[in-house]
Amino acid sequence: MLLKITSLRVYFKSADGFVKAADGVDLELYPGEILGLVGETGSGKTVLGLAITRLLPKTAAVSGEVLYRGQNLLALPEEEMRKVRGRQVSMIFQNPLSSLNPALSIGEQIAEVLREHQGLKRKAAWQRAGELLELTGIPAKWIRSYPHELSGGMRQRAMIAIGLACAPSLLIADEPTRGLDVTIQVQIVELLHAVTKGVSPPRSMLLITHDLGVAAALTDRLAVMYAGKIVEYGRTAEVFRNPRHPYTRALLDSHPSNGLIATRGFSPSLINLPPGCSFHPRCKKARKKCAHEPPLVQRIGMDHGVRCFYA
Amino acid sequence: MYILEVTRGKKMLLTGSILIFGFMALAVFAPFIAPYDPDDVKVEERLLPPGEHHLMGTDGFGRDIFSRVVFGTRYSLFLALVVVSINLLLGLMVGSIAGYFGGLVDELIMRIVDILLAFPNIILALCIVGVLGPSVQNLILALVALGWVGYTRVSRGLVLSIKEQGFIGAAKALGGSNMYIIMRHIIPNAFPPLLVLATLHVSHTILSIAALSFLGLGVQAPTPEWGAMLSEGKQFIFTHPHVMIFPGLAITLSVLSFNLLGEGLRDVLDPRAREVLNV
Amino acid sequence: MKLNKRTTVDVSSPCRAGFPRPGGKKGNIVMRRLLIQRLVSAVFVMLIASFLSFSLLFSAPGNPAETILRQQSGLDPTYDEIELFMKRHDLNRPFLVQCLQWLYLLTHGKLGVSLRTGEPVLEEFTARFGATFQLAVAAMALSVIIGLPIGVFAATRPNSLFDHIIRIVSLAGVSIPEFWLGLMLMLCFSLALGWLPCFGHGTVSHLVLPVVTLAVGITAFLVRFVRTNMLEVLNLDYIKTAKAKGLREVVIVWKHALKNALIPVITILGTQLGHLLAGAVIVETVFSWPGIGKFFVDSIYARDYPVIQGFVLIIAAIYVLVNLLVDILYVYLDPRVRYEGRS
Repeated sequence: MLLKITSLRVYFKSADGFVKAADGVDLELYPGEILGLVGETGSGKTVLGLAITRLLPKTAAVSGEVLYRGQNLLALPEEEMRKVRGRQVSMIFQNPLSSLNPALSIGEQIAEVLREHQGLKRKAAWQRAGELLELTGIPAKWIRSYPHELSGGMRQRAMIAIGLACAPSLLIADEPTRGLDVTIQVQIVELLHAVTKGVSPPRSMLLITHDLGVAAALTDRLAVMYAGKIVEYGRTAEVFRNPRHPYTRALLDSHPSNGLIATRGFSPSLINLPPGCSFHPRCKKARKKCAHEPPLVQRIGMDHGVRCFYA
Repeated sequence: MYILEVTRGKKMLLTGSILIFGFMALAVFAPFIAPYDPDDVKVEERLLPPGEHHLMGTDGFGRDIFSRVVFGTRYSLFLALVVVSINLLLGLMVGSIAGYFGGLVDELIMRIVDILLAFPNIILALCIVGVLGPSVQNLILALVALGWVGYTRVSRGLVLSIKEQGFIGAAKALGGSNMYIIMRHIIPNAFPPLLVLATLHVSHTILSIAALSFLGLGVQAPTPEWGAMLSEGKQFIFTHPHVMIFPGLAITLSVLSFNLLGEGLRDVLDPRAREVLNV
Repeated sequence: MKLNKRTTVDVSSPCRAGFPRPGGKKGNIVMRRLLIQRLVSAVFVMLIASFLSFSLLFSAPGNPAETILRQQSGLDPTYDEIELFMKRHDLNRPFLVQCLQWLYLLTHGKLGVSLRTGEPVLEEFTARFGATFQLAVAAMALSVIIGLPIGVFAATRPNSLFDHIIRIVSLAGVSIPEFWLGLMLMLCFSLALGWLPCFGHGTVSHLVLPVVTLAVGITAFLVRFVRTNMLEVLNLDYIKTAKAKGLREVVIVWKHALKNALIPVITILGTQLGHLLAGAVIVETVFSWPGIGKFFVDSIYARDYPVIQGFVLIIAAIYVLVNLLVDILYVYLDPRVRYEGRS
């Protein structure tokens, strides 16, 4: 197992109380596997990704365990953690325009990772940066251009090139296709596939997305997140074919190919979560029990689990 | 981050307000607080060190420095407030006109503003006072000559953003005249951020007035204005430093309190308004 | 955006051979247009400045001829003397004609003659500029050397004890009047401790007190400005990216954040020049420093109009020039401006 997350909790202190962005998350990621983490905006997906690499602001209270190759990342000294970032675990952020430094050329932004982690000299690092750009589909002659000189798709490619620089064994991609044109989205999905499944041995990736189409195209397994909790997980094909949690079903129904059926109500505030099952106020199947008793995960068959009493 | 800034802002706001309130009280109740007449010359008591009878000692003419510092509050605060008010009103008016009407009017006004902003203002103030002769009126004129420009620029920015909001369209649709809309809707909405700017500007103005008076180009000597007192006391700096210390402390403290108030207000204000101020 | 019809050799962009930058040529054109625009506006500002400084004389109370004659002789001039003076200096021509005449002389580098010393204004200026330049550059350098690291340091530890102390000290720093600070430093380091001379000019020890006095306000301002800008930048997405890349904190702060935070700092240093000039006037007066500031104030006391006019004009020119340089630097520093032009 490459990554094993156990009862991860991330709370933020705010003026109105604790924001429970992640509330007891368990996840497993196997080598060479692509795990999709889906859910609507504000469900805590991004926070989870940042918690793994410990990039959350200092105001966040994090507890639980994040085992990477048997090593608890949450207990690692900061200096050790820094050496994990970018070298073993890389992140690809959404909105590459704001995530790339506007004052540095993309070549510099790739080369500096190589110089930091692999001790390459300036010239060698730039040489390698050019290769990485070519690999992600940007002509190497663009190496001295600045982020604002590139198109949105190009920027995301540069972002991926930065993430791949030190050949990490785990990529965490946070909404890598958000804000891109549909045709560009397809290209980025293909690129992500090529740099994970297309290398040997295959590279693992945690793909955080709200786009079920992207998740279906790329992932091996799927975890559905709602209000800081994983409500369903399983093989991607299995979850799509046989969604057992009412929320997963609603999410699939809301997809345009399934008729764009909206879920009633709004996602809850992470400060005042409803008692019992967080989804019960919006759930068609909710019964009395759901309102005061929080459901536990039930295993239903091979590697398929649901957090619902009536699944 | 933002919350932390707000709590810190509140602290600064409180400290600044208390200090300013103190200075205001000194100015208003000066005759009751000051133990002596600030203009009372007593040659036999000249240059006494601070002590029982004279809290801050006496100056070269035997006048009680504490009483003079207390009365000086009136000049410094009053002059600074007058200058800033004129600047604020003038800038707000011109800026509102530029922002509201846009087009050629805007273009013309902003060009002038840009050109005026390109001048070092204290140098021009020095020239104006220098050429017209030192007096309180000329001092005010010199500080207004370029002072309004900053407000014009900020007001214009504010007005442009307010203009986009729904209620302006509604007022227009109801047949409100331009003047009515500017006075009734635009100016009241642009005012709060401008107030922050004005508060910070008061501290600059106190410093400018003191500096010009110190150079002998502002408020003139027998008047118990802090800068003028320092100008008078300069000759005693090495023999009787107490003459110099207290008026300077008064200037520093009053400037500091307005800076605290302005900074505090800015931190407490919502971030959007802060952005406009950083123009 | 207009298309470039001429083929130009890309000279300004720091590209290395083999790595042409896309858009570099286009960026160049935008940059050139921006600079031309700044240059035109600078010339315009100078024209207005000359006009204003010329009209200064006419806004003085009384007849300028009478005023000047009184300054020269110290006595009330007779009617005939005034007439003669006015005829000799073309003072009875219409205002605008005189103004144009003055402008004409200006273009030939003639700024008039000091009534006090009888020397040409331009020479009076150049003779004293060195002393002021020395003061200003030393103060600016000191402020940047001290203010920049402290501002960065405070921003990386927001709300720490260090940060709080720095905030209070810097707020006090911008609140102290320069002339008083200068006198107090003099009192402390010259009189009480006897470490430094308080007046005079020549050795490094003479430079210390005036430079420190001048630098305190700018340093305090710079600390606050750098801190605010760094705090803002440190919260941006690309800093998170830099952290995710496993870079050292030193690299993140001093390379990724500072490079962006520095852009507005450079601009603000240009505007601080006005502060520096005003400060120089006061500091030179307090420390009897033989620079242009002291001469300017002395000329104001003496109502030496040609000097006042000339100095205002020269100071405005320096101011405009420095701001123009800052604009160029800004364009060079911020690749976004180089490409798109500043809004």
